[in-house]
Amino acid sequence: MTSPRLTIDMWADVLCPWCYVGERRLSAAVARSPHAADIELRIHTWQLDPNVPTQVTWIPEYRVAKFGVTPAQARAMENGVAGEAAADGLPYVLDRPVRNTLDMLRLVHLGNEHGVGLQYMSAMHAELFGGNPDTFEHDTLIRLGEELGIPADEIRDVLATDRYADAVQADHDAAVTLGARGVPFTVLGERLGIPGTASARQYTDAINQAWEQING
Amino acid sequence: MADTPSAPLRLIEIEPDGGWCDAETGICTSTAPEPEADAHTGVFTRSREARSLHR
Repeated sequence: MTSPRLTIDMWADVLCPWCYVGERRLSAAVARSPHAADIELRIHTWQLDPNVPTQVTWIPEYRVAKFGVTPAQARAMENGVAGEAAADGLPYVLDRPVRNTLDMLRLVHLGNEHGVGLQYMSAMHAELFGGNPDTFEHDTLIRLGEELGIPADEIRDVLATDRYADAVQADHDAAVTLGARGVPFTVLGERLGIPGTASARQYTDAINQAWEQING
Repeated sequence: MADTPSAPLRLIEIEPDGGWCDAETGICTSTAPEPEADAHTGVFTRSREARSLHR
């Protein structure tokens, strides 16, 4: 792509189930657009909960501890998004691992430097919500990055340092400045904001409207 | 990082088959952010044009 005629910015976290659903819907809407070749979809990071432990635990147990609910209630908290994922044909495992995502988000920024940040987060989402218990393992993150063309030594270097931690914070601050209070958060053409996951049709309508406003 | 728009964003309300994860509570729900709460941020402005996207 030379110079995109419409830029779409999406903020997301790997742990965020609605980001998983929303990114797939938005990416599909962009791909379906007659202007797809002139649209750039950029991923930005937002760490939903920096206090998530750095050791792997499991989503139901994590929610029981965090929210003081029963295991059954913890699972029921995801009924809505699990149903939407299923309706979209996306795998969605309720009993999946959870861990602090700062390392993953830093890697997304490395991915952005290689032009594959969106694909890197999408691959992480697929592993996590597809039920891979080793999603957070470095070997998994290296494999996913390598599959996208990112050299393994660069990934190891990021994991061994705090590189891109400032970029994660900067992305967060930018979203807050725009008024975001959660994720996913999407901005089209720096004009339209979508706080949350829209329907596939809404994303298409928003793309069309932003395109018309900018290029019409 | 995205540039900060020079003009306020126009907010699009999400439909019932969407949802979000609230940063303050950490809870992910199918309930869209409250319009009144968004207005309190002073950043978003709503327009009939934006709202009409989901009608």
